[in-house]
Amino acid sequence: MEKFKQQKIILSLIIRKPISFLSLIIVLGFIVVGLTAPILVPYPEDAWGLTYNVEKRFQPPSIEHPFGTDALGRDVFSRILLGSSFSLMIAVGVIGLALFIGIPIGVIAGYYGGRVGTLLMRITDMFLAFPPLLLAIVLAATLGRGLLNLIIALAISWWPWYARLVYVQTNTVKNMPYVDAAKIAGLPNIKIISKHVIPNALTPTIVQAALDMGSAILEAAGLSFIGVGVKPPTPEWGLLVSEGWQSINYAWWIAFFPGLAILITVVGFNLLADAFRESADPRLRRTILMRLGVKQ
Amino acid sequence: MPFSREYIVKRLILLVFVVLGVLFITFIITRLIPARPELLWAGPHATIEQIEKARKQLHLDKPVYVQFFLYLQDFIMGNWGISWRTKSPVFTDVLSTLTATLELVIVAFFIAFIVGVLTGVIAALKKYSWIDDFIRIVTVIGASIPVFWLALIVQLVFGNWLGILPSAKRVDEWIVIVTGFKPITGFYLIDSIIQGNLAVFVDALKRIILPALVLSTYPFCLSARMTRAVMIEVFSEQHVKSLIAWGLPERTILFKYSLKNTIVPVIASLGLSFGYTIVGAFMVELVFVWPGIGFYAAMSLLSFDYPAVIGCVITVAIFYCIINTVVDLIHSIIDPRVRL
Amino acid sequence: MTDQPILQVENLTIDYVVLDGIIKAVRNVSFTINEGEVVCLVGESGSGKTTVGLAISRALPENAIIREGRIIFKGRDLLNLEIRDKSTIEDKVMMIFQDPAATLNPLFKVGEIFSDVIKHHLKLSDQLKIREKALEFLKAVELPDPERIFNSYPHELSGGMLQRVIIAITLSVNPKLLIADEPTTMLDVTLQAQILDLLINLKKKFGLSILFITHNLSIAAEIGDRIIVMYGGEIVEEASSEELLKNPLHPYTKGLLECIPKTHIKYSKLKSIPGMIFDLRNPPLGCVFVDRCTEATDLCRKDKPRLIEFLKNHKVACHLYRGSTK
Repeated sequence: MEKFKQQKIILSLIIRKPISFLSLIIVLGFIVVGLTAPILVPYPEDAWGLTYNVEKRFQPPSIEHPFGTDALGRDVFSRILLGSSFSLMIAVGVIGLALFIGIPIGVIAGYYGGRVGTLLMRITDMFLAFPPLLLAIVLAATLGRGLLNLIIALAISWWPWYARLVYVQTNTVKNMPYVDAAKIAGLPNIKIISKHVIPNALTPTIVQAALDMGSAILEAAGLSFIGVGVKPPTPEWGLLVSEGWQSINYAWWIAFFPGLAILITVVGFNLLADAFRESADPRLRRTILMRLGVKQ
Repeated sequence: MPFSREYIVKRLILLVFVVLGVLFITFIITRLIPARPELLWAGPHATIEQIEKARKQLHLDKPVYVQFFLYLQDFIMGNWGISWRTKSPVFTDVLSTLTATLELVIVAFFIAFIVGVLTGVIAALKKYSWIDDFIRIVTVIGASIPVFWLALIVQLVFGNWLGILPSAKRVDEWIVIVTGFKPITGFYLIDSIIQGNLAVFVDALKRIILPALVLSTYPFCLSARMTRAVMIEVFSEQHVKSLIAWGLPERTILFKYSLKNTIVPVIASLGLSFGYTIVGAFMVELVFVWPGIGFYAAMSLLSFDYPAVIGCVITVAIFYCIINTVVDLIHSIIDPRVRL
Repeated sequence: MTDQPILQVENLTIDYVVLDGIIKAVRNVSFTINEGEVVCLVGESGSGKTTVGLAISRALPENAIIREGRIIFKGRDLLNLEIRDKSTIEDKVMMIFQDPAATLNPLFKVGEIFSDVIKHHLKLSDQLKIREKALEFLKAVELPDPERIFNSYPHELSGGMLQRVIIAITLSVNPKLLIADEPTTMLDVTLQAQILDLLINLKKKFGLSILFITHNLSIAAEIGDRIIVMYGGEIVEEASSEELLKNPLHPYTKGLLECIPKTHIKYSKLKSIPGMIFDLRNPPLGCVFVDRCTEATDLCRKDKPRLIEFLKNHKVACHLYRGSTK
């Protein structure tokens, strides 16, 4: 009951502020578009990059082609729309895989501690010694271009962060009285972990991860731009921008709109993350309501 | 000195171990993951002999632990392979492009930090006013904007449409020849000041400012947001409330005391900020054709020049480790509670 | 101790704006402190005692709203003060807080903070003189090796030492009133006694008045000349500490006294007052203590008892004692 009330309060706070509400719309909109784009896209062959149309090259934005056409005569709008599906796939794939690797490592290291824990954390630290994207670049360069390789490369550079987060949380939770109580009651470790440790230690990490999806999209786009991401003709947003680079002087729309799509989506996630953090912090909540003009 | 010689030595040893870890992971990625690493190494247009040569270079005929040892040896001696794109040793390529990137990154970081902290302080002071809202929106957008896209747009608008602030070179050759400029440190802005060469200084500044500003966007937003959040938190802490209750003037409480508390975590996070910036440099240099290691790395990536890519990656990773160590040391200087 | 009032609080009413409502933290609080007196403000969490202290120090948080009231200190209404710079006022109020480690900025040497306070209030600019003065007060609070302490960081000193340093800082500017908000709560019992003794000695030496805020009635009895008992934002009883202990009137005060562990009686049970404080967003219309009072009547629920002087110098707000209605 306590938890639901908490979530309701947080949600209501998010909705009350116009900017947070907007961010919620953007994120939900992105998810909806990403899921339905393969079906609803206006020019499917263009979107999937299956055809090209020499007469329609470099057409500026018009009614039939709201974002114009690119160097191969393809409708940019359709490609961007389908690109959202790929971004969604990448975001979910990267974060999901990173959690899949990071959470077990973090939980085991945090709960059992000792030599195993130290070893696991040392390995994690080794990965963390790399600048954030660099590991992904090396991996992507080694594995070759492609959607799956991109997801794997990014996931491998992301998981240490989650492992560390989960490790710290697990450590804290491990020392909580209710865990001691469970141990005294004779619960086997596995049960303790699944019933007590995991829900309490993981919630902040999972929340953080969901909101990290925006950053995953941004990084994937960056990698695709410098040529170690997806393969053409995949309509991934970063790749679309690089495709428009050549012709940017006379056909600016090809590079402009995909980048704008990235910007809006990531802004949505970041604003939502901010709004969430503010609403979840009780001290900040008080001042938000003060500002919204609670009756005095 | 707030820390002892033992501490510095300990830190340096730790640094060595971290670098070893980086090299170890890179070794695994470059030698053990690919099925035929020599193919990657020799490049997409290699002949059979070149592939054989690559096999020898990578010591692939030896057992794994020997490979790793030789790999370390090669690294230390500068045998980083030959870039098939530039036809020259990767090591020399990296060294020659390093200073250009360092200058760019340092300028970008300088701007990002100073302007960022200032902005964050203003936002915290004017909390919840329209200025604060404006700053928060701008910093969120700045933190979400794809650097490469921003670089393209900026270059399009300023470089092509407005025709000002060119780049693609660090300094115009004519000016160099005419004024007799000689690079000493490799940092043209510093060198020109040392030699009292105003023309070169202005020209170099004109050319570096645009890519530096674009590159500074992300760390600027990070600094501003963090400064704002930390400062608001600091204002609510008891030691500030005490000073208020004790009647010290607002200016003192803000600029002497609160600011220091605010800066500490911001500085502590500079290392990570730098990490993001350095990868951003790859993209910014690529778009602006800035002759640094980022450009070199990006071009290598685009042309599948594997040895060059690895050389750049290791260099950047090591720099990251060094920067982090320096940041840790600085952190322990300003925060007396951190003494390891 | 004289009969000259040095502080008069009149009808002080303070609200806090919070997440889902307004907390009516302090309601209609009035009392006086005389020169040289130690007045103890006693109450549990939520009684409003700290808020009163902060209000007098003019250190209330941002979300606090002073609805009503005056705080007259040496002839000046502190709440109406135009002057932002407290140091320009001759008569100073200083405050010490509960957690000595949190009270001082961890990034600065203790001496640095000390010097700034002296510099600002006493308008001294000579570094040497400032340092001298600081060391003088560090000695006055019975700290060994004041030089070393002056150059230390807060985390290098223990809780007890820090609290002494803080007392030194606050007394160095020659305040007429010292507000001490639970200064011994975070210290162990032996240190508690030392700090209390120190405060009494310093009070005598410097002619201070002290407003001592605590939840512990025993400490209040030990150090206080007069005790004011607060509950739920209102004053329920006020008397000299001797009188209050001998002859407690209000049911709450009686309950508090019974809660003090009777260490001289074997096998005595620990007593507590059943129930909890009410929701401060919705204070009761009648008596504040009505929900937990064993002698509550319907009148108590409907009608708020006024604080009246039932016995000589002994005020109480309770219908049991001819508490009147409007």
